[in-house]
Amino acid sequence: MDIKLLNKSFKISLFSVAIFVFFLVVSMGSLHLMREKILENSHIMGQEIAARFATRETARIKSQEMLLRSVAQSMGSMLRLKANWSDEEIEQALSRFTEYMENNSEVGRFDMCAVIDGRLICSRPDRGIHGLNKVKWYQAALARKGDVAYTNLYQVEPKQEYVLTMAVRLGHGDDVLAMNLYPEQLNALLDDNRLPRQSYYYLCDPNGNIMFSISDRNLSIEKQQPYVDQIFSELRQGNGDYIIDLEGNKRGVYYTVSDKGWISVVTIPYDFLLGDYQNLLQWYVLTLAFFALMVVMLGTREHMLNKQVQNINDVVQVMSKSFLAVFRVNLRSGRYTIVKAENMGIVPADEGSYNELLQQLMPLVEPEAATEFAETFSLDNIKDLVKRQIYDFGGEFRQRFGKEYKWVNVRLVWDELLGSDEAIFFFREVDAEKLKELEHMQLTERALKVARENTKSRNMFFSAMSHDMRAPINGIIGMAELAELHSEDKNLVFDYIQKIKSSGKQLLTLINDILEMARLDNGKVEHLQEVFDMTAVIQEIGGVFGAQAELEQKYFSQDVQFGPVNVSGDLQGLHQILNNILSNALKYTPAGGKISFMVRRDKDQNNRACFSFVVQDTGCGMSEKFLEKIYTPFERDSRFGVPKVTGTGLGMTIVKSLVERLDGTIHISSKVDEGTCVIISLPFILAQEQPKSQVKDAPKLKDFAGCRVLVADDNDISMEIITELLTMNGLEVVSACNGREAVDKFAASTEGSVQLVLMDVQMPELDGCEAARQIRQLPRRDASSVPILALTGNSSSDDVEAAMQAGMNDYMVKPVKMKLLARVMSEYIHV
Amino acid sequence: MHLQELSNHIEIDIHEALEERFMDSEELYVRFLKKLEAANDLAAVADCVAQQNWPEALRKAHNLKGVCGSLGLIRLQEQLAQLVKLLRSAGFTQKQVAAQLAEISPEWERTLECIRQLED
Repeated sequence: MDIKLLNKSFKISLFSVAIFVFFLVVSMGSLHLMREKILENSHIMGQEIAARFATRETARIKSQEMLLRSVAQSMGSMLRLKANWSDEEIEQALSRFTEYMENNSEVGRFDMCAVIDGRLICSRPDRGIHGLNKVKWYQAALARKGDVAYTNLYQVEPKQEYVLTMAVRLGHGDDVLAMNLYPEQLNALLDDNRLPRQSYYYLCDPNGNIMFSISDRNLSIEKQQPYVDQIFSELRQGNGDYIIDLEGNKRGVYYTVSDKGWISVVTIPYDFLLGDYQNLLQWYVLTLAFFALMVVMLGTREHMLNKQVQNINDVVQVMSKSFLAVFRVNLRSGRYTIVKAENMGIVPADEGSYNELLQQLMPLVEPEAATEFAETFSLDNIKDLVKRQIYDFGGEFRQRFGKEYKWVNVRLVWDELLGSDEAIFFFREVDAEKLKELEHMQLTERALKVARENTKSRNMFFSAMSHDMRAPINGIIGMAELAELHSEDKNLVFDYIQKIKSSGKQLLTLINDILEMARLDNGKVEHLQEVFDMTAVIQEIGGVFGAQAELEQKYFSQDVQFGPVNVSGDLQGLHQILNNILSNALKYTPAGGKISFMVRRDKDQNNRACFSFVVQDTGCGMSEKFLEKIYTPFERDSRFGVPKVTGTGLGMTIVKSLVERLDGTIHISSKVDEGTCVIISLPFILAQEQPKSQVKDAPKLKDFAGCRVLVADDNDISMEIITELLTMNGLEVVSACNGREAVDKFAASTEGSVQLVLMDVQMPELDGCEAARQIRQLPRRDASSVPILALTGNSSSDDVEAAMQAGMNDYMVKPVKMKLLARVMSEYIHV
Repeated sequence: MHLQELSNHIEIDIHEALEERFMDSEELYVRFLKKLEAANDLAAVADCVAQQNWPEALRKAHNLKGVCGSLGLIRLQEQLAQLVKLLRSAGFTQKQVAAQLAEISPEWERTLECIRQLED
């Protein structure tokens, strides 16, 4: 906007400056012409003055010439009447003439001399006309014959006065009469030497010597001569128009030359000549300054106004961009004028009937709102609304743009500024805002619904949790009360304590699961991103469940359809997910059933490898009704025929949360009495680096070197195998061939020296369960803490339950797998 | 005969037994296979059956099944598991047990013979 405004201002300023310059040039030209005219007139005036003065002076000298001629005539006559005039007589006669003329004519001061018969005789000898000088005027007079001869100005002794001598022959002889004139003295005689102010007049002889001058400077001729010389020098060089005087002022120079070669010079100061012009110039400059000031002020005012107008225009332009169309409607005439209608989808005439405009607009309005639109914006309704002083009204509707509809806000605004008959009718697209508003509304509704559902599900969760927690707690309290009642019967009390322990463990598992779920919900679980070999991890997990399946007489098959692949991801999360799913498959599959664990690698996406984990079993399956609620906490399938298994009812909830956390999907299909199939897809980042060796991290028997293990097994070869392997890994083995021996050897050992008991369940004399029970009852501190692992070839769950009831910590299926043994041992022995 | 050649003659999972139970020690594995041959526990089971000492017969059969499992002798483990199951079932007869034993016997003998031929 600023650049635009500046450009416009610049153009306007340029125009103003151009006009100003034009005016300046014209006026300067006029002034110059005027000055030239004044100077021209001055020149004429100066020339006239010079001529006038020259004429006057020439006339005066002429009269003196006449006087000289008269005296010469008289002298000639006198000399003819009598010869041999003495010098004294002639001198007296000259003196008389001189005195007479001085007294009776206005010729000023003068002297007279004569050369009579070669003798020089003067009327005033003291004035000193000497021999050498006489030659000049004498010779000139003789040469002129009867005419008057003039000398130039010259100086005479003794006062060095300037003198001009005119001489004429007396008759036809060589006698000459001369008259010495004193030009300085002439000046005083002039009464009409009126010159323009500060002007100078000089009368010069043909050599340029000042004969006399008129000036107000009161300077001697000697002092004025250089100035006059300068004038002549300038005139000779052709620079005759003006001269710079001794004071440095410019002066006009005007001159005339008389027939005797005398030069009359007048200098008039330019200040005088151009006095009026200077005044005019001053007025002109003042007027010009005033005019320039006015131009600047007007320019500034115009700039400010332009800026304001530009600002308003910019705002209006920007605002109008957000409008599709703007019409001005005259309510009285029922006609409209277009202000803007570029993007309406129709092209109305620039002006026309408002009703016709509405008819044109109607097809654009969504059909549902067409009637309302027509009624609201009908001329009658508008008039009515304006009458009721409603300034702004309108609404939003969907308008068709080609094939799509967009939300448009249509308003009719009326203002007193426009007059009572005018209104502004405009269309503005509000599609994005409206959609956002609608989306926001939907989001709010959804959020409300979710909040309600959350509240409901939270209430249900707490209710279910309370119920599930109550059962083991009630068991604990009941068993404790029973133990109190039968405190004398040690075996019974021990049995109750085992049950309390079992219920406690169940409760702990439940609480752990609830905490895990809460952590997952709150996003507080931060599982580490680890690099691992997917194949190795699956083999390991499958191995554990394979062993358990074998123990429970279930067929377990594992199929990994790809080779080793290093990936980076949440290994702990993957373990949790697969453990939950596989343990459920095992739990709900009866002995003889099949569990298959298949993992395949799907198509990679960029640097992510996707894996599908498929766990299929031939267990009891789930009803459709239960399947819908499978992820709801504490939900269990309670239909008839589903085995009552221990569990918290939170496993699948946790699995679901974990899968979502890992950006995966879970799909479960199931049929009652046919089995269940769980498919989990999880993406992992393909890792370039090598995983930290899982094998290295996996516990080994060697890690327990130095530990003492009590092994009870009635089978010699089995005993030998275990003993051999443990021994060769640095463990110390205490062997017992039956339960009794095992109890005795434990009792005989130093307290704390046996770190683990491997107890075969089925043994002669005293079976493993009984032996374990007796070890637990031994009166020593390590009796209750020593870990006892059941070894069983009989993989029925009854055996496992019996072993647990007998106080054993864990169990292993025979034949014992050494890696599994090492892993189980690592859970109980911390080296 | 080399250990790895055993699977050509009898049903044996050498790989699993070596990896899971004998820590990849063929020497150890062979040593215990030889022990099985020396003990000839199936004869002891048969004696108990002949004497109708059923609990002992069950115990021995059960132990033998475990040992066979440890040594990776899959077929024998399965057959012995059936014998154990029979001996645990209610109302089995000596004839049934003897028949089961007779079924195990050829595999048992073939296994012992193979073990005997094993190189140390």
